[in-house]
Amino acid sequence: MKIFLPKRLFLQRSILGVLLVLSVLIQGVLTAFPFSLILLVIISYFLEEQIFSYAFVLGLFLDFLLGGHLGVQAMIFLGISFLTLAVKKKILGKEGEKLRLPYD
Amino acid sequence: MISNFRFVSGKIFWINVKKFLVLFGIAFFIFLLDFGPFFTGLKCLFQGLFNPIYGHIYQINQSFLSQTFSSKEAKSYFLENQKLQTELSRCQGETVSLQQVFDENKQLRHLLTMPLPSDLSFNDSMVIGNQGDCLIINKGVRDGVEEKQLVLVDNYLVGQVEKVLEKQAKILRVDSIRFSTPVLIFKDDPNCVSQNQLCRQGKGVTHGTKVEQILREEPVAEGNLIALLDGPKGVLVGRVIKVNESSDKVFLEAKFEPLVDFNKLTAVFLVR
Repeated sequence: MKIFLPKRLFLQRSILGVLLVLSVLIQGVLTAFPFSLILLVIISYFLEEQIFSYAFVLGLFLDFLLGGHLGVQAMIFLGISFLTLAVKKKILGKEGEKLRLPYD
Repeated sequence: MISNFRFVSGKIFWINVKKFLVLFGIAFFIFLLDFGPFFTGLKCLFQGLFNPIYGHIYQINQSFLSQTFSSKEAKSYFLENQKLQTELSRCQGETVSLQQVFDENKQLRHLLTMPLPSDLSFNDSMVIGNQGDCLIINKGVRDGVEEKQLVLVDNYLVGQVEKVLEKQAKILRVDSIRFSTPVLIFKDDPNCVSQNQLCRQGKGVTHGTKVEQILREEPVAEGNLIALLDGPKGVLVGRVIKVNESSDKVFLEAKFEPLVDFNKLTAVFLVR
C-alpha cells in the first residue's frame, strides 16, 4: 500500500495536469469561454499548493496562445488559485483556521 | 501582510503564500518586461509554430463540427443554404456582367452618334482612380497607349495622357493648372451656320480653368463654347462662365467650366 500510493498520486496529478493543458488549448484555440479558469478552480481543491506552479506555467502558455500581453493570464490564474485555496482553508480547513461566522 | 496570513492561516498556509508571492512576482516581472522588445522573438516563434495548427483547427471547426453536431434536418438545411448561396452569387455575377456589357454598349453607341470626324479611331478604357488633378486609367503601354494622346468622353475633352506605365496610364485633366492647349471659342447657337455669319468668337490658350491671350476686340461672352484648336474638330473643352480683362490690361481672360464631371467618370476613350 505504501509503495502504491505515490504512484496513484502521480497518476492523479498527471491526469489533472493533462486536463488543465487540454482546457488551456481549447480556450486558446477554439473558444473564448474560460474553461481553464473553471478547471483551475476545481483542481485547486485537489492539488492545493501544487496548483501555483501549474497556474503560473499554464497562464504563460495561454498568454502565448492568445498572443496577448505576457504575464496577464499567469497573474490571473495565480490570483484565482490563491483565492480558491484561501476560501477552502477558511471553510473546509482545520477548526482553528476556519472563518468564524457570526452564527457560529 | 505575510505575518497576517501566518496569524490567520497557520504554518501550511504561510508556505503557500511564499510560493504564491514568488510566482506572482515572476509573472509580474514578465508582464513588465513584455512592454519592451525582450519576448518578441519568442512570441513570433510561438506564433509560427501554432499558426498552422490554428488553421487546421479552424478548418475542422468550420467543415466538421458545424455539420456533425447538428441534426440531419439541420444538416440538410445547411447544405441547401450553401448550395443556394453559391447559386445566388453566380446569378449576381451574371447580372453584373450583363450590366457591364450593357453600359459599355450604350457608351459606344453614344460615341458613334457624336459629331466627330469619321476617320478618328478610339481605344476605350476604364477610369480606375483619381489622383489630384490626374485620372488613372486601366490601359498602358501593353495596350498601345502613348503620351500626349487626347482623352475624350463623348465629344468632351477629359485631358491628355501624361505618363504611361505597363498596365496603367495617368491622364492630366483639362482643368489642371499644368494643362495648356490652344483653343477656339464659338457661339453656343445652332442657327449660327444658317445665318451665314462667323460663328467663331475668338481664340486663346487654356491655362487651368482660364482661357488667356484673347484679343480685346474679340466678342467673347458668357455661355460661349470652347473647342480644341490643335486636334480633331468638334472636341469641346468647356463653357465660358466669366470674361474679364487680364492683369496687364492687354488681353481678355475667360474663365470656363469643364463639360465633364470628373468624379462620375467611369469610361473614357483615347483618340488614336
